[in-house]
Amino acid sequence: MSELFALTHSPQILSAVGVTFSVADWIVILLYFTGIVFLGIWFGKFTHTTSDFFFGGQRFPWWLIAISCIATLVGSYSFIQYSEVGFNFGMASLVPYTNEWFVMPLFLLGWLPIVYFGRLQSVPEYFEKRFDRRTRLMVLVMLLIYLEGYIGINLLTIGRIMDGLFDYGPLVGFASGHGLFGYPVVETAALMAVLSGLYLHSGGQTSVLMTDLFQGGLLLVAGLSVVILGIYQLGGWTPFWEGLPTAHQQPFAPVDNGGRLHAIGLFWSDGITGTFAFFFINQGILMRFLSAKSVQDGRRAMLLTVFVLMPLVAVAVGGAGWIGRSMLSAGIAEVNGVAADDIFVKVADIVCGTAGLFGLVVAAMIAALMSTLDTLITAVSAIFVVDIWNLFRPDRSDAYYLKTARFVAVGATVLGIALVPLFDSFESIFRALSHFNSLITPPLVIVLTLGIIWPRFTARAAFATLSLGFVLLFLSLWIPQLIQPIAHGVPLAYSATIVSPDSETSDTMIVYGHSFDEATLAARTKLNDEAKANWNLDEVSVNSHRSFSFMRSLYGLIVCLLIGIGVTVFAPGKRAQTEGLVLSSIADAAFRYKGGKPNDRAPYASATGSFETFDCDENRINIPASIMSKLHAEPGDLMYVSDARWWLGGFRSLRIEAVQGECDKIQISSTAVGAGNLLANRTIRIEKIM
Amino acid sequence: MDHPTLAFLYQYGIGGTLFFASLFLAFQTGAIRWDNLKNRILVVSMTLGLLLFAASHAAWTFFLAR
Repeated sequence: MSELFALTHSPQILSAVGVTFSVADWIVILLYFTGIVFLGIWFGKFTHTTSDFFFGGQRFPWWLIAISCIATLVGSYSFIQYSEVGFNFGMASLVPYTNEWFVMPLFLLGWLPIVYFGRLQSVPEYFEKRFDRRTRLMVLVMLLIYLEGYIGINLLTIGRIMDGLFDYGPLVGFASGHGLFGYPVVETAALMAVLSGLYLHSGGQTSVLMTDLFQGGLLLVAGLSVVILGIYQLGGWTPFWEGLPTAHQQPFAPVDNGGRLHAIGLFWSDGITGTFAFFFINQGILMRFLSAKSVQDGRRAMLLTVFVLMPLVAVAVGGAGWIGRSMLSAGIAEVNGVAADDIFVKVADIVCGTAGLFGLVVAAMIAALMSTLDTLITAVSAIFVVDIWNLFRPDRSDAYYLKTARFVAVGATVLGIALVPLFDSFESIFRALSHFNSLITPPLVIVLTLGIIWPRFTARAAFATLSLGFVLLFLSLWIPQLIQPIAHGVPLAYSATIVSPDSETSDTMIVYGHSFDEATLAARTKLNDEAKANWNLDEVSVNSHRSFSFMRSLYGLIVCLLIGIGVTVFAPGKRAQTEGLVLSSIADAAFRYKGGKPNDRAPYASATGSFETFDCDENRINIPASIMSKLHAEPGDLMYVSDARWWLGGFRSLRIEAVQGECDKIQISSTAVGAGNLLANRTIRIEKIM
Repeated sequence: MDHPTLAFLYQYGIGGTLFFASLFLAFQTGAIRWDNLKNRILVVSMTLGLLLFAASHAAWTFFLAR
C-alpha cells in the first residue's frame, strides 16, 4: 500500500469511456458536495487551538481514526489504478492492501508510543531530537517536496478524471471541453481544491476526521457495490471465478514475471518500504494517530485498519478489474477493447443500472480525492508551522500559530493548483517526482528504523545514510546494473527502436532480458507477436529508468543499512540523544508524559453518570471516590471524559487529570465543559487513560 | 523456476522473520512487558492477525486456485 501504482499519468477517463450522467446521478453528486462542505464547516466551528487544528484536540476513538486512515489511503486514482492491476494481474491487486503486518510491531510498539509520549508534532522534529538540526532540515525539505508534489499529482489526476464530467463550457457559450478559461483540467482541479479548502481552512484536523468518516464509508460502499453487482450480473460467484484466467486466481503475482509486476519486488517496494513510508513517514497519517485519545486507541485503530478495513478496501478499489476480466471471458461486448486504465469506469457504468448509483460511484472517487487532499494540506501546514515558522517566530501565542496554520493551508492549496499545469505539460517533471519519491523513501526507512531500535546509531551516521543513500539511489537510475546483484533474477529493461518497412515510421518497444542478446531475441519475438514481422529492429539499448523499478527499494534498503551501520561502527561521531526516543526508553517517555508512574490497573474499566458544573477558569474534574475506586484510578491519573453516546466519535470529550471529589456527584468546571463541548444534562462516560 | 507457493513462502518467510524479530526486540528492550494486560492483548492480536492472514493466503495458494 503505497503510491506504487498511483504516480502515473492518467487519461481523461470519463470522456474517454463515454459515460453519460442521469439527473439522479447529478443530484447524488450535488448532495455529496453540499453535505461534505457543510459538515466540514460546521465541525470547524469547534477549532480553537493549534492542537485542535493539527491533532483534533487528541480526543478521538480508535474506530474514527481507522476509517479516516482508510479515507486517506485511497487516493483520487486508486479505483482507476488498482482496477487496472486487477484487470491485468487478477487477485494480485489485493497484495498492496494485505501486506502491512510485517512492520506493525515496530509501528505499534515503537514509533507510535515514541511520538505520542514524546509530544512530537512532526516527523522532522523527531530527527532533530534524536539526531541534529541538519538531519531535520534535510528530512524537512524531502518531505515538503514529496507532500506538495503529491498534492499537485492528486489534483491533476482528479482534474483529468473529472474533466469530462464538469464539461461546463457549452453552458456559458464555449465549445465542449474548453472550460471557462481554456484550461479545463486545471479549472476542474481548482474547483476540487477550493471545495476541500472551504472546510479545511476553518476546521483543520477535526473537520478532516469528521468528513473522512463519511468519505471513507462512501468509497467503501460504492466500490464494494460495483463488485457485488458485477458478480451478480455475471450470474454469481462460479461464473465470475471461472471467467478469470488461472494465473489471475492466484493471490500473489508470479515470482518470475519478466520485468512486469512480480511478487518479490512488490514485497520490498510496497509491503516493506511503502507500508513503512505510509505509516511512519507520512506526516498526515502521523497526525491521524496523534489525534487518537490515547496510544491504546491508536494501536486499536491500526489493528482495525490492517485486519478488517484494508482487505475490504482492496476489494473495493481493485474488484472492478476482476469483474472486467471475467466479463471479457464471458464475451460481454461492452468491455471489448476497453483500455485497462478505463476498466473501473466502464464496469461501474455497466453494472450501475439503478438511477443515481453511478453518481454515487463518481462521488466516491471525488471523496477519495478530497479525503487525501485535506490530509496532505494539513500535513504541509503542520510541518511549516512546527518545523519552519516556529524557528523564525518562536514563543508567540497559540492564536498566532493557528492563524499562520490556516494561511499556510490556503497557500499549500494554491501551490498545489499551480503545480497542476506544470505536471500536465511536462510528463518528465511528473516522472521526476515519482522517481524522487522512490529515492527518498529507503534512506528515511533505514534512518528511522535504526534510530528507533539502535541507541548507538549516531547523528553523523543518520546524515550520511540520508545523503549518501540518496546519491547511490539516484545513481541507480542511470546505472541500473548496480541493482542487478540483488535483483533476484529480474531482467533488465531494454528500449528497442523499430522502423517500418518504408522507413517512414519508427516506434519504441520495451522488452526485458538478462543480456543484450536475450533482449534482442525478445524484441524480435514481440515484433512477430504484434504482426510487425516485416518491421526492422533498429537499435536495442538498456532503458535505465524502467529497469528494476520494483527492486530499487531493496537496493536502497541494503545500501542505506550498510552505510548506517558502517558509519556508526567506524566513524560514529558524537553520541546522539536517545531519552524517550528509542525502544529501550519508551517506559521513561510514558512516565514523563504523565508526569508520574502510569497506572495500568483495570485498563478497560469505565463508568457513566451525570455531572454538574461549577465555575472555575481551569480544566478540572472532581470524581467521587466510588467511581475512582471502580476505575482503579488515583488522583493525578489522566482521564478521558466523553459524552456517553459513542457514535459522536469523541467529538464531545476531553482529556483531564483526575481529582478525587468530596461529594458523590461528578463535578466538572465550566472551562472544561466548554473545552470538551460537553452538554449539560447528558450522561458522560469516564475512562482512565493512564 | 516459478511456482505459486514461492511468492507465499518468500513473503511470509522474510516478512514473518521481520515481524517476530521486531517483537523480540520490543520485549528485549522493555518497550513492552508480558505482565501488562494491554501489552499482552496487543501482542496476541497482532500475532493471531498475521497467522490468520498467512493461513488464508496459504489455503488460497495451495487449494483454491488449483
